[in-house]
Amino acid sequence: MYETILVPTDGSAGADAALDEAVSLAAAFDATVHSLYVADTSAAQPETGYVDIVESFERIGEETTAEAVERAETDGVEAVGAVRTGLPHRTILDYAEAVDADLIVMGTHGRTGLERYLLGSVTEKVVRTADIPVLTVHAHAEDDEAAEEEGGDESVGTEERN
Amino acid sequence: MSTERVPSELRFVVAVDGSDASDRALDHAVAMTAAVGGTLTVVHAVDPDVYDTGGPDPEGDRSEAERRLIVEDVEDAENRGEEVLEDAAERAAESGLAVEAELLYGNPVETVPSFATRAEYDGIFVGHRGLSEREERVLGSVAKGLVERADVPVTVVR
Repeated sequence: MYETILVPTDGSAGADAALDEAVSLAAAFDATVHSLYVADTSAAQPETGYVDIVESFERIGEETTAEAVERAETDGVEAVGAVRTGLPHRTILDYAEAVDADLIVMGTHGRTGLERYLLGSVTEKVVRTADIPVLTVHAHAEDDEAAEEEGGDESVGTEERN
Repeated sequence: MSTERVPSELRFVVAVDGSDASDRALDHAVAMTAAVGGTLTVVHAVDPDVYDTGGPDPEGDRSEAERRLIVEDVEDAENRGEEVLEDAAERAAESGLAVEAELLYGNPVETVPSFATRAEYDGIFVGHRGLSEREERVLGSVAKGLVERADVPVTVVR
């Protein structure tokens, strides 16, 4: 069904939920997961130390994708980490084409209140323009709270995230 | 409401409207469902609000005439919805998958996600026509609406 599954990541709770979904799909179909981090060049202006900012994004990207690869391999899923520089949605689509991905899995900004109904702009653009299927996953509310408040205000008991 | 089921059996929903994009979403959902040995329900939403506007104003007792027109249109939409569901079920059967069919009432962006959540489905499949950003702002997109609102994972198929 799927052989190559691309999961763009930005380190958010939504991206974590997407990774979980991608890994379980990959395990079911013996597929390879690609974890892609895009160092967003539009966020770095030349006058603000372009090279430094891109380099620090790339370092974060290396760490984030290495964690994702480890997470996938823990479940016996073959995984590849990649860091690219560019405009996020364009870079994601180019990478998907380059590795011949047959599915892109992305998180949505599934927080509480109004934000629950707001897609991430990158996810929105990929959903609108990708030629291949895009699977979107909401982060669970408790994951978002935990990510935002470092532990959250109310214990959700045995919720485990590896 | 939901009966006991085998936890490992995956259950999916595919939203159909008879368009080419919807057919591609259906084919993808059928392949996915068959691959994991799950079950698939095809749904189509009849949206009475859509028929509230448009067309020339009827003469005479306006509110009475409008009410009648709306009722007739809902019936038309129901009949069309049943046909869309039948066609989808036939298409799935050609691929060797027996599906369930469910006619829903209301805006698909709201009714499909709530149906999926209420009946504890594992995922939704939906087609996307491939609109430009501008077209999508004007026309809206069911796919985008589902992605925004659904609690369960949504696969958008082009």
